[in-house]
Amino acid sequence: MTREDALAAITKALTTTVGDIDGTITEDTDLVEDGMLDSLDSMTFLFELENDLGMKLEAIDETYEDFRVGSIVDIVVAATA
Amino acid sequence: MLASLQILLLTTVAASFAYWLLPAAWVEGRRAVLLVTSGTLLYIYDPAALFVAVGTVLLAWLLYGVTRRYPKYGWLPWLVVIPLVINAITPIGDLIPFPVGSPRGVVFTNLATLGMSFYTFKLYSSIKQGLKLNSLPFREILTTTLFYPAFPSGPIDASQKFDHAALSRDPNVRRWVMGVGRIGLGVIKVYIIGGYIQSTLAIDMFGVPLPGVYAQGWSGPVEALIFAFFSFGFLYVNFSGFTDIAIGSGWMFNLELTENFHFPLLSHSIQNFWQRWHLSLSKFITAYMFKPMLRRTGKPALSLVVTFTLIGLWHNVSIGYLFWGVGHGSALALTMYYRGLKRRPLPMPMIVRRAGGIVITLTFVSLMSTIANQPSNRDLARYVASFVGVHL
Repeated sequence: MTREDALAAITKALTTTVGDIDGTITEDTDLVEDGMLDSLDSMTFLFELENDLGMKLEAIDETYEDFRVGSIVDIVVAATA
Repeated sequence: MLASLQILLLTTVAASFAYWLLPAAWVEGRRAVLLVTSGTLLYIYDPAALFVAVGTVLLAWLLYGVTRRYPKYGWLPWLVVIPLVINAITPIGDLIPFPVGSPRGVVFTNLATLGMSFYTFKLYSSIKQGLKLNSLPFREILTTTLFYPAFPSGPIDASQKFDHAALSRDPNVRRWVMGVGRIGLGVIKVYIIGGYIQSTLAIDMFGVPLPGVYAQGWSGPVEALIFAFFSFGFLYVNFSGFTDIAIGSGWMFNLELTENFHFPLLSHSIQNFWQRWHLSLSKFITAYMFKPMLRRTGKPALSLVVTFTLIGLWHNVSIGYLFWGVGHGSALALTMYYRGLKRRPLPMPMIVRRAGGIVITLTFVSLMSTIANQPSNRDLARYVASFVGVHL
């Protein structure tokens, strides 16, 4: 999966979780710091993302806290390589 | 009560001086200061409380070792709740630890049960973090569990807050002074504002001090609703006050405990409430209960209801807390569902929507809290009946 594909998957999971998104999601966006997700949302978002990808992202455990989109793209790209 | 508080504060000052007299290289000496001080205070309160706490730490450490050896049994760390369950169903509950000099009113009955609950969750977090880092020294979980300012009511921090790096920090006079100030803020909340609410204000409003209201009952729905705001406000003042004392005490040793409150009375939705109220519990719920359950069930709403029901029963095994758990879980699930509908916001200014949201949220959480903290099922039935004008 390319970085663009990963970004698209992240955006889709985000939309499923919180509805319409104001603005554009880039790799510099921090989904929690920028107020798009709260702690419960963040878990639902990761679940939706794993669901869409059809795989468990091993790098993301219970205490995963880095919600910068670029970091999640890295994980998705590595997991699907 | 104040005499005991003075002892507690003087002990903290003396312990912090002893702690800072030791050079940073003597980390285990500093740890010994924390452990001896905490252990002594707990022993003075109740030797059995110290025994139960240390026993639970030993159990946690054992579970860590076994889970590390047999990682396929990932559920093993949850066995750390066994003492808590025993505590809930046998007279061992009389051993519930609480700090020296803490008030023991009716409302505190439920708060007191949290002592063991809190360190059980601290231990679970510590095991999970230990498994992640592949290291969990016994002395670190013992320090985390016994650290006396955070013993009765948290915050819920894993043992890594008390690791080698944390205890080898240099003295920080500014932090120490800020710690004293934070403790002062907590004391003002608990003993001055809380005391005023519990006695003077309660007598003005209900004719009796706060604990007496439960026996007296409520004249009708309006008084019952006012009581809900009143008792929730009292709970917040006390809980956040004890947290201030814990965090301030940590600062005096240059230790950073997790902040637990962020202006919860300004919450404009139930989701927003859980980003402001009891943050260390919220983080624990999200990481160790909601997410695994979500992965297992694939249903966010169901996972929320089940998770919060369990958290309600963690607070106290009672019908009131069962309502509390189901209520909070359902409200969060409904919020999630409503947001999924992607409806446009109501056509009114943002400030009006926010104000309305604050009123609705505070009313809901106050009612849930008051229902949960009723001293008995009979009191609970009387409270609920008063909303329809029935006097039981």
